[in-house]
Amino acid sequence: MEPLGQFEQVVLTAILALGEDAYGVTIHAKVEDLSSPRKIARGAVYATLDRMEDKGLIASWMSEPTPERGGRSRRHYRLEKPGEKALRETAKQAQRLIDTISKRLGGLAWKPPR
Amino acid sequence: METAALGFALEQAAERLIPPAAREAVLGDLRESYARRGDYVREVLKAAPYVIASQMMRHLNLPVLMLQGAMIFWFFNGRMVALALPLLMLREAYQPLTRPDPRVAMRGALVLSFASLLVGLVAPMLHGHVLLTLLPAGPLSLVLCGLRTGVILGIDRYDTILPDAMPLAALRARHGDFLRRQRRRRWLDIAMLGIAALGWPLLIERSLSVPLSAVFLAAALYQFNALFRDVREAPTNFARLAQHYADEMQDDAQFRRFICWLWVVPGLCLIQTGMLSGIAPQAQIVLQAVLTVLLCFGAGAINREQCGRVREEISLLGVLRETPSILA
Repeated sequence: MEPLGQFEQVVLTAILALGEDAYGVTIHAKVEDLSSPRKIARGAVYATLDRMEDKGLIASWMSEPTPERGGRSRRHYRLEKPGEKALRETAKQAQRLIDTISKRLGGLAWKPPR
Repeated sequence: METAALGFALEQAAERLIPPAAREAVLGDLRESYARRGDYVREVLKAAPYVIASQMMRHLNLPVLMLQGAMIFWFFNGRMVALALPLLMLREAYQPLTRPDPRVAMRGALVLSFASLLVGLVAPMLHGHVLLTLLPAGPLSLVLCGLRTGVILGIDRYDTILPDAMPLAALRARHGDFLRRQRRRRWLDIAMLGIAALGWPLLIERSLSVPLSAVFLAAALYQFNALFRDVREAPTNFARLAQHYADEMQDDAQFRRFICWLWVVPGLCLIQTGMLSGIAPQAQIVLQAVLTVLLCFGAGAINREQCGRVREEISLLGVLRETPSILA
């Protein structure tokens, strides 16, 4: 399986964190929160969701239409097994990076140079 | 949240801009998030390029696009290919999710028959043969309406509409049926395209028949390759299987649409070159126009209806829910 891109990691993490409530609006808000202070274009989130669905990392389904959405349905997303596996791999890699940086620069006291 | 303030016209414009496959989710999200017109418009315009590009990539069938490009290149030139390919990709992204309304189809038939004869026969009209050139428009529109109705009724006979929910076993059986039908059709396509590729040099002049045979042969090879390419294991998970099934249907529909037009091209070549020689020039122009309109309208009608039915089924697959199996 090809490794996840950085933005894909963030979107997958957002879906994992949101659980049953993962749909366009909440995913975008969570992605902005995770990427803070960077502003994230909503369209970029949709494009990434489409791409990850095609890769089989996530699956989607439509909910019932609601009046606050002008009678339109929500497209909900959930993590699939390959998505979970890819996210675990990413977390392991991130952990290795953190361990290496901590050893050299003193753990949590380390701050990225401005 | 104030939701009625956006206005019908604005929502209609946004609907036109966002491709149908993403419309429901994207416009629903934007409506939920933005109550003010300015914010809504700004966000629609910001999201649209990403959504359109994403849908273009999702609907991209590279081999079919290459076949279309080859055909355009041989009959026109490279510049036309550069112009046409993005438009073809855009057209795929904007394919409707349902079949067109029969009333719209009938109106289209009337407008097309009169407009094409008016536009296509401007030259003879200028020479004072107005009545002769306009005469076929009335009967032609009736024929086109009949043709369209026939296609609609013919395709409506298939009872393939999916229920809201089904067990995994039923979806698997349905997918298996689809693959068997697709395999039979592929063998038939290979045989017909192969025979046609060999036959065109005998029927059409060499400068046209050589590129035409090459495209037919390429299409036959595409189908031959697809026969062995698609023997991979189908997913066992319900949602993944539905997605996989929808992707296969979409790829198949894209090729069918192309092949439908591919069969029209030799007809157009025959009409424009040798088939009608030996009759009066005025009658020849009228007949050429009538036959061209009939051929193109027929292929367009079959494609619109067939593709609409497939798109309908694909969109139903997208909302299909799993029910527990009766046997489980």
